[in-house]
Amino acid sequence: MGRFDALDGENVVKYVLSCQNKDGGFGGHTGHDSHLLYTMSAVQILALYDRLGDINKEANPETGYMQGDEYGETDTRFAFIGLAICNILGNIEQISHESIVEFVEQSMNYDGGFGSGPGGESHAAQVYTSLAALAIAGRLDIVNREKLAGWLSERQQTMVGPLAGGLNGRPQKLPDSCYSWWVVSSLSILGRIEWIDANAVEKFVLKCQDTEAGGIADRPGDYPDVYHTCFGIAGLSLLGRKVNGTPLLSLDPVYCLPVHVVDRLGLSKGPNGWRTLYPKSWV
Amino acid sequence: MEKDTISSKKNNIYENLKFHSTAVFTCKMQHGRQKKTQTEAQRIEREAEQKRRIEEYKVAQETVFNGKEAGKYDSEILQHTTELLELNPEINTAWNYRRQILQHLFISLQADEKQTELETELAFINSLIRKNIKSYWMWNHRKWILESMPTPNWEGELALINKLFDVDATNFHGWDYRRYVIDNLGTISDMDSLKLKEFDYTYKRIKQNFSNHSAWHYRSKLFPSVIQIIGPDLAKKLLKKEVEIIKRAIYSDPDDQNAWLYLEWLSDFGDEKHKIRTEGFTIAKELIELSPESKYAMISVIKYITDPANTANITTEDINLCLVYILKLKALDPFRAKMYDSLESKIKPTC
Repeated sequence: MGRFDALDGENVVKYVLSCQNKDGGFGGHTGHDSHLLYTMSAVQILALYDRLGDINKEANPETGYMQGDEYGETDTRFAFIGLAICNILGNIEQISHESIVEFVEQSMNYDGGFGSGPGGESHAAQVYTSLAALAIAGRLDIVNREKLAGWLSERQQTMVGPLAGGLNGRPQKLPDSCYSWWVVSSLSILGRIEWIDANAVEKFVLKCQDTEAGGIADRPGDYPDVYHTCFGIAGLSLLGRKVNGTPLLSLDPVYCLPVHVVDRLGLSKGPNGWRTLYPKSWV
Repeated sequence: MEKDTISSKKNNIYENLKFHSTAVFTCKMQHGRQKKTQTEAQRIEREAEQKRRIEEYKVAQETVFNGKEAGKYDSEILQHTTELLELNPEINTAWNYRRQILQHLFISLQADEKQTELETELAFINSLIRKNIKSYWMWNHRKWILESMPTPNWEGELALINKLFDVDATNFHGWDYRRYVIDNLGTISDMDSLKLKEFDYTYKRIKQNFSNHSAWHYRSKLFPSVIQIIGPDLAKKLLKKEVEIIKRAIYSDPDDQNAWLYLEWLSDFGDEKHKIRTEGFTIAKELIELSPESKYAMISVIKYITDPANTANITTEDINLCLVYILKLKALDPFRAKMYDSLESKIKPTC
């Protein structure tokens, strides 16, 4: 929303850095065990504040498909996070693209979407992480673009009432404001963002607002939380929506970071940026 | 009185932001928790209750993290992790620590004692999983338990998943776990017969609910193995049966996309491609006669006619039919108008 000044940046950075562990990764809080999920958030926050230099760069991700932590959880989420972290930190050669791309490819399904891993059913959030991973690796060409974009556009629900226009994550599920990010970012990466109705998405997300306490809930009338507020707004930004006539800050659909941050780090249009590696035939 | 317009709500985003930066704002995901209107007394009561629970949680968390810091690995600290995880199963560090404690306790145990301990652990997970079916940490911990057991009961796990699906038949954690259980069962019994049984199981779930996308998905994953296992003669019969299942699903709910997607996928598969495509085309055309507004049937017809493999047989009448459908689809389903534009662009070059 362009209100970066609303938080005390110095203390945010201090807190985030205090979550880094000796193994190089970040935990969800000071003293918590490292996990890729939290490491990603930490790296994104530090990138926002241009404080990546303060990270103790010991992180040395294993090659191959990514594990969440030492207990060996594997997932297309970690394929994306592993690639994204290494790229943001400028260590892209530390990680094997080939085996990650292979893992994501094996997670592709009959409907064109991607699941949590090989065998897993398509889910819009896993589609986003898979597409973002492939975009970073420069291998979006393996995607069945039209089929997947069609499946994603079907996530927009046409029922009458307060849920109209909302996006769901899988067929037959209720719409949820966080899919404004997962579905819209995926369509944006595919270059098919216009295959849904932006006005209807906006209408739904704004209905999810808690007009008393603030924030955005998953659905109209539910309790709001930070998660849905973040992804609800992020989706509206990708759709180029305005607030009081002022556009929301532009976001990059792959890294879920402001475009100016991604450009500063050369992650989009740089020599190894994802837009540079974008399939020529898709442009 | 309430200005329920988009522009008034837009303004609210900024109002809310101001509020956020100062308010204590919950970070827990609140999926599907309905907000109720409260009286002042209810609000105070709710806040007091929340405060009490936060205090309780803080104490539990501190005890566990202090234990971890001090390198405690005894049954007393294990009990504290139980209390903490019952309050919040999303705290991954507590699950990690719990596994470390158990591993320490196992050192002095015989295999059968270890088995008993891990069965208790499984019971603990069972008590939590119903309330927290979407917790990745919990499903991971369950895998660790089974993998650490001297004699894991994989059939028991399968039975449990069957029960879960009676309540929630499209839980993707459950389906992912099911495939994991099958992979493990395959190491101790015949994988081929397991796959055939699983294939039948997906049919059982599809029959109960033709909209069960999880079951359609799993069926598509098993199908290539199944036709390998049964051989070419039976595979032909199976394909015929698949088309019948698809047809029944489509007729029971033409507006559900699953069967259409499965049909499209099957039409691109194996030696019988052309036959399946033609049968799919016939199903779609017949359906349009019965219910002319059937969106997926119209899309299916357009895709068939514009299929590059079919261009030789296309008539002007076909092209006109497609163009009529495109107009109808855009009117019926305006959210996806741009998708139909793209479909339309595939029709024109053949004119």
